[in-house]
Amino acid sequence: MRSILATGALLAAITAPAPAMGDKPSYPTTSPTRPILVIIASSSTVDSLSLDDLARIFDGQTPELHPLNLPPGSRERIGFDQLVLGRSPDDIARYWIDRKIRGQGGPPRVIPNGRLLARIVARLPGTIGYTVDGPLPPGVKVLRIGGLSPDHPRYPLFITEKPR
Amino acid sequence: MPLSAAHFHIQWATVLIVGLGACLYDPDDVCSRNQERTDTGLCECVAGTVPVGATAGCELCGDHEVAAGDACICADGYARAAEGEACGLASGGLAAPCASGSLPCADAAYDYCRPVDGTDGYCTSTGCTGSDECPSGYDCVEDGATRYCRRPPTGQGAPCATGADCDGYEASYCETYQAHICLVPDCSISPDSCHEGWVCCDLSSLGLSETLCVENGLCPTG
Amino acid sequence: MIRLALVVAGVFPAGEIQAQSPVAPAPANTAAVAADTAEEDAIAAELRAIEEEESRLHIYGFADFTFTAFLMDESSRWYDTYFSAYPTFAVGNLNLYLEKRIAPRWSSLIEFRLLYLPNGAEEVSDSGVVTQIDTSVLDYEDQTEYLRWGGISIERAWVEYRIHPLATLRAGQWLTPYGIWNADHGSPVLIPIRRPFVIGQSLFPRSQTGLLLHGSRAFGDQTLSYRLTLSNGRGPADTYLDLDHNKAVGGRLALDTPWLDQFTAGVSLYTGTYSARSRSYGLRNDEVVADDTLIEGYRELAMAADLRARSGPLLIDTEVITRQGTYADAARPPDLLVPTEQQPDYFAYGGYVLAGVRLPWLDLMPYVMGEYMHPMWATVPHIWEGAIGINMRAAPTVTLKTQFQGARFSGIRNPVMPDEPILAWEAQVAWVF
Repeated sequence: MRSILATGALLAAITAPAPAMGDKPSYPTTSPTRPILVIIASSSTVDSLSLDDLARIFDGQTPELHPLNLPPGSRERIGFDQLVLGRSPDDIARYWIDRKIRGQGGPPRVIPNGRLLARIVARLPGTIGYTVDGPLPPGVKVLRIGGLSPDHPRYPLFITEKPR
Repeated sequence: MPLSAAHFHIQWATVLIVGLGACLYDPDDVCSRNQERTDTGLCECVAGTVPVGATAGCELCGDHEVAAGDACICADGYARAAEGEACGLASGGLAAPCASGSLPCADAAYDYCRPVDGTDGYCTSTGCTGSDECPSGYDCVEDGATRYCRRPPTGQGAPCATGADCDGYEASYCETYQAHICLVPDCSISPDSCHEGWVCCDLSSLGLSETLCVENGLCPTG
Repeated sequence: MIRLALVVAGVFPAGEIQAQSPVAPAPANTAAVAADTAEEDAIAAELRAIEEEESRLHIYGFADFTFTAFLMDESSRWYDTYFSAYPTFAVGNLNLYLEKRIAPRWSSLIEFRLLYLPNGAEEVSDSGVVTQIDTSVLDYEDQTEYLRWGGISIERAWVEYRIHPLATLRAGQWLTPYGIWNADHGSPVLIPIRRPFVIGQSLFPRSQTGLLLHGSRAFGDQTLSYRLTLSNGRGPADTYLDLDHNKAVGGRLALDTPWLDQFTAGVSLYTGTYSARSRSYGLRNDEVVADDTLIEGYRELAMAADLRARSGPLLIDTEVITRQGTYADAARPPDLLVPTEQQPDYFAYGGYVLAGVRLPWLDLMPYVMGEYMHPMWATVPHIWEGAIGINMRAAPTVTLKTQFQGARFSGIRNPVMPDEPILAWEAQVAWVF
């Protein structure tokens, strides 16, 4: 019986859809969430992006904006990849390897931490990145995602803080 | 461009591409001029035509010519005065029918009656030292003390489907395995009795009891 | 304050980019950041790294190592004609990529494959004697050891310029943009070990030399992409020599949608002429003249449709490809297996379906693939093939595969190809470096 239940749970886990983007966790939690801020140079004319546009940028399909990533394995990176691209860390690694073999170019540059990433974005117009670390340096602005600013209750990009 | 327009364009692109599918291949016309489809689905020359090179289709043989393998040769009773010339009636001349003692060869240039069936034979020349001294298609061979210009075997290389198609020819064996042409059977391997450009081949390894004259280079080894 | 003037090749389409200096000291809550020398050093280092990365030549590649065992009875005629009866290890692909963003908006990719060939390649004489090419030569470096030299096959070599967000022009030798398999290209990416016949028979040319215009446009969560090609087409030396006045044209349209989890559908087209010529020189009227003869020539039209659908762990890939060819009357080639007869015009078509499920245990993907093909050979009307296997992504850069496969050629009408099934078991490790 246990094995049947375990198998059923496993199959459910396999076939369960990815978390709906933009939904805060529906389970009761006492862990606060922090928005993932998508940032760009203040001089950019872009003020808002859809999640699809953001996904295309970080998938390397939009050469006009050059994305900067946080390190693989970081909570912000895992959360961003899951919410924007719908991929796990292994999926992401495979995706970029497969693109290189197809001749479609390599992955975004990885910046060691969000604070440094924000300062790079400020210095290099044409780049776009994300961070949860504040305060932001001068020269960057935060984009609305799907028309929603980070303080909106339905803002789609967030990570859950570890319980203390 | 709105999404519905994108779908519209894809739909018409697909229709166009599928429509183009009918434009190139015609199942009723898959071979070249003067060719026909074989049982194996390939293209071969129709009767009365010969291949032009290995790839350039087939052409009809001329007047008084018959297809024999890859070449047009003069029909019985006809001959070419020189290579490249049309086949003319060999009346009294080269290849004219004769019989030793009763129907001599009238043309001094071809005054040797070479027997092929009893005393009946054909007129040809003697004294050649090489095949280049013989008329086109003829080779210079020796029979005892006589060197003469030998005509090619009748029917050699002619297309056939069964043995009956080769009846009456000196090339009386129909090769039905691959080439489907008439070949000269029961030749001598040593000395090679086949016409120039052909070689006598022992085909016992293929289960054939006869020796056959085959084109140079096509005798299976081993 | 550190003032940086930075041009990052290929990254910033607006052209020369200047890094912006930090603003003058602001209110106290941002002044600490601006004034942190260590942080400024880190920023400068990162900017330098970005610049170096963008201007660096990237070298990477992939390779595979395969074990192959044919499972037919040792009396099978396939061992006489095509396959080795002895199970064999082999390094198959060994491909190197050279990639670089060579200037703003310009990038280049060169890929070549290192080969053990021509050593070991078989040649058959007119009388049926088979010999193997032996490239053994004495190594001049030490004069005692023999080595066997191999070859290099250039897979692609192109440069491209991004004219507009919707249009990038590529020039050089590139993989023909059709379907799924040809685009996936490399063994670490491909799910099965062996390519389907419909791909291996090159109903579309595997690569072309010429110009390729490509771009894509997003419509909400869907993306429409296009490819337009102009090339030398196919020929005996089509990578650098076109032997007729006709250029080949082609194209592809693909729609990428998030239906299910991924749903990509595409249609592709290619049309052109093939010309092979022989030349001989002679003397006429005291002048050297050249006789140029078309020895094989045909016009062709290839079309394909493909679909990739992914829903959770389930993946389905399918392609259908057709190719029509009509020979010039005076340039119809002899059949390879029945050389006394010539090849007819043809309408070849086929397709395959591949289905797999990526399991959460060890990243295993069991898969099955089925294929049917009606080839261009008149004497072999039908090819059926099936395969079942497991693909495992041991690491993002390492793919392990094993599969059983069988193929059957039916309706054979030539004396060379056996009317017997082909059965094989293979195992492969493919890796990216």
